[in-house]
Amino acid sequence: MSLLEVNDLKIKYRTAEEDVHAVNDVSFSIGEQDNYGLVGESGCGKSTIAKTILGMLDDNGEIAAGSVQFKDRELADLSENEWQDIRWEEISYIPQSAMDSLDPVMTVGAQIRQAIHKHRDATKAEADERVAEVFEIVGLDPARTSDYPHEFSGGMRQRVTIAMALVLDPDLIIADEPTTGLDVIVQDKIIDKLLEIQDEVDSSMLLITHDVGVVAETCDNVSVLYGGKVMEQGATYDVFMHPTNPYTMGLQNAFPVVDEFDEQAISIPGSLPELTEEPTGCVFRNRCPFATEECEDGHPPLTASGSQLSACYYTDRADEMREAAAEPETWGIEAEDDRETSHETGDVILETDGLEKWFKQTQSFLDDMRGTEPDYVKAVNGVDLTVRQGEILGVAGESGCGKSTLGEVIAALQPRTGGDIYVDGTSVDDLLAESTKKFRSQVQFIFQDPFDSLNPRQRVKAAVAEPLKIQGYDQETIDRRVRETVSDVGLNPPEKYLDQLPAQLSGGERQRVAIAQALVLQPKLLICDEPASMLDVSLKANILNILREMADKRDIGIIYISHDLASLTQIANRLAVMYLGRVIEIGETREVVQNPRHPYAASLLAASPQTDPSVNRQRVLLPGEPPNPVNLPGGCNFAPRCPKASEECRKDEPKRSSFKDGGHEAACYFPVEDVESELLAQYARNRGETAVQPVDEGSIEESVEGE
Amino acid sequence: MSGYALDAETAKDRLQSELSRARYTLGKVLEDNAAKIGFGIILAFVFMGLFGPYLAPHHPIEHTMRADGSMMRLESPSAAAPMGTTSFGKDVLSQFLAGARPTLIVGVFGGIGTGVLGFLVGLTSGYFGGRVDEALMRLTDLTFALPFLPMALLILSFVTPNIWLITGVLVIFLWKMPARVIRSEVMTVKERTFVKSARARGAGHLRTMFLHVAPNVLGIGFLYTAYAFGWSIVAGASLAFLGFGDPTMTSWGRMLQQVYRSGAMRVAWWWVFPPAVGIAAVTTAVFLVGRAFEELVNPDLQSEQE
Repeated sequence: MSLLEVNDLKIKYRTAEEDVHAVNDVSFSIGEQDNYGLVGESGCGKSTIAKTILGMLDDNGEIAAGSVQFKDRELADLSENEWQDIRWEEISYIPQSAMDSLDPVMTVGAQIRQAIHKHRDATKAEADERVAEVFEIVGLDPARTSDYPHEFSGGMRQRVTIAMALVLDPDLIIADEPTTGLDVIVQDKIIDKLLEIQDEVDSSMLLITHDVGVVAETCDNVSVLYGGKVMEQGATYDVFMHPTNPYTMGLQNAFPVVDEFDEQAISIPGSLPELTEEPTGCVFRNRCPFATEECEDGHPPLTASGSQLSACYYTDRADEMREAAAEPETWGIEAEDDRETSHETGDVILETDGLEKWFKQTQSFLDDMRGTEPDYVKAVNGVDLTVRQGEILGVAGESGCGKSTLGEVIAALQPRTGGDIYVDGTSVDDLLAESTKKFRSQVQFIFQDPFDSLNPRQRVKAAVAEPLKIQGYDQETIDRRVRETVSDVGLNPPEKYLDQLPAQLSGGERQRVAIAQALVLQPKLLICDEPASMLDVSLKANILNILREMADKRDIGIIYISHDLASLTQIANRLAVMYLGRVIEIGETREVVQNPRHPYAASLLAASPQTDPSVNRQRVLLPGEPPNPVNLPGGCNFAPRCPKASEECRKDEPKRSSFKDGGHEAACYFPVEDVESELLAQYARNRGETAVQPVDEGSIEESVEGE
Repeated sequence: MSGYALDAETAKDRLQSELSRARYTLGKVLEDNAAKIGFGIILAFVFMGLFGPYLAPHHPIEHTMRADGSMMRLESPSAAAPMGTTSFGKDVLSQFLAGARPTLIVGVFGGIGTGVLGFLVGLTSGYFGGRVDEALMRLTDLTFALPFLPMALLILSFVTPNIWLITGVLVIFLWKMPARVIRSEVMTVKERTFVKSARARGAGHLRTMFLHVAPNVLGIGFLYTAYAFGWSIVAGASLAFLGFGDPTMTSWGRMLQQVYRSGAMRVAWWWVFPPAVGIAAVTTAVFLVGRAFEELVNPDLQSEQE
């Protein structure tokens, strides 16, 4: 018997102008102790389904048809009171952003107790006991139940929300993107915990995510959603090993994997369909390379194909399509031949020498008067980098490692504390002294957030023309260059986009406008700070390809900053890994990824999820968290968490050239030879012994932001 | 400093798009019924301000109403004087029509002056922060601390008040409100990525400030200009009532002062009502329109920006 059964569910949202059909005829069922995944890009209706199951659909949303049955009870007709009994007692929820899903003025213990008191007749002592129990289950120190949320780090807060979801032994746990926004190593630990917990308690889990890798590694069964429709459904292994639906194929191809080098990521062209009408044809038809006229006649029903269900008229040609889908040409993308050879790089365009950026910690007025030396957060601490023409240098690292600060300091958006920067052999100070304008025409920056990086009041034409106007070009040149650049970044035909306002563009289009703004000056150096991290997978690949093409064709040097190793390995020629303000490993991308020498870099690389469900990856259970950057330990920064650390590591900080093999350098006295046995097995072994180290991440963030 | 100049082309472009935005916004505001009434009252008031003196049947001060050879003192409305007469035998209707103009001048220029000065101070203060912000905000604290009426009376006792001087005094005391609000709004906007992005593209401070930050807080600026229009009228009328109005002009505030001084306040309702209702109607109208506009501008500034 299945626990939850969703049948032909249709949900629409009423908006002022027209109705949005967010979910159309979705059916799936979750069995007892089942791990079920709903995977899809933003706007596919996955969160709407989760909200419906919890009875927390927005006020303007309504269930137009279909049923949601939980233990043979119809959920759609429940009253608010009946819902309150079911929520948490039987269905609980792990929200996406643990950062603000906890009440900041209540201790975490009290927040969890609330749920107990609401549903059980328990004394405070009994409730406390239960809270301590769940804390232990999720790997938190039970003594910390009386702490406030800000005293926990991001990963630990996510554990608190998991503990909260577990506290009443629900039958179903809905996890809505539980690891999005967390660093890979933390993500790996959380997922490991979730799976382990599930083995112990017998709940089912509904995992909602856009991350194909996470689903492939955790779920037994999966539904791939697109445009409010189920595209493919079945056992995870079957769906991702032998996808039979073109959308699944596209999604999987677009999803970057760490150790696939130089393979051009294949993006899915086009954008999501408007859901203002009920779909009349296949929802994917306008983006599908295999679409024919038949696809116009109604969305194809889910039919058995192999061992899974797929909504496509051509499931019988699945093998053929799968082969074709692996070729970029199929998706209308020009394939780049011999990408490997085009990676010739030219002269050095950027050189940094011992670059430093320290943020002063605020101290009391009295200490100021007494002349006490204030504490510093060493966000960037002695970084030496070079970037050549036509080269993409990837900078990887977890949040708080100083990679974004590094980018902004190089672009002179923040003043540096020490060290030197040379652009094309000239010191940045000299360039700036000569003219800021000239410096800006050589070094450009692309920001992370495409939804906020364009002025909402500026049309595309004005936005892209602005840098040229500042440089004082004449109107004719400006018009020509704007048109060229807009078309170069793939916004074709340019006329269609030039007069649009940012609000009329999709996220991917906005980011391309931002790239056009940076490229229109034909800079020598381009710094990209996570330019694709907020975009859906299918669009992400597109942005990566544009950047790669620009580096190859225009000989621009690019610094690509990201926490996403998989996209870095696809486009970067060389990769630098940062930890707490230092570059701890640098070298050719292939070298670094295949033979990482620094234990931290090796752990980071091993923690990336795999989209291939047949690979059984050992999880990275790196103990502890990065130390507080205000009081760094002496010696190697990573020593406190490193299984290989010796006395020497704790005393002297290793130089970056401690390990050197050609261009491959790592700051480690004992470079890693075998990741599995030296690190991962060690982590797994040490796990029981290592106490949870409290880290005050809140103060780190504050000090970094509040200069 | 790079990109300091705002080229004419960009400026023209911007003005055009702002104009079409203004039309769109006005359309939205007028969907509200209360705002429609308010807007009608304001239009009527502006019309009176512009043409009132020409419409007035008599000169408001020089002409004395007479009937049967004697002065019409404090007479209730009649065919000859539809709104009655004052204790000096002047026509109330003429005074009411002529009195709209100074009231309009004080309102319009006081409002615009307050809006512009407050907007610029708020923009500069919020954008640059640090010492500039500190200096400007302490100055606003100072104007907040000084009580309006006593200070205004003090200033006006030393000089002969004329309408422009009064408007100036009003602006000096009213700019602090929009300045504070604009400043806080600018501080949020300047943290948004596109402002940083503009800097990275090479835009100088002036360009960033006026082309990227200012348009995104313009709505609030207009809102406060509209409110300042109302405040100025009320404050100007208060000054006139206390006898510090422009002695050469008949304004609604001055009419109220005269009726008060003549001791006929409780008797001559026809003399009290026109200016009192006029002031009340205009200020209420401004707030009605302002409220509809605020709904548009304030909480969901982002969603309404198309």
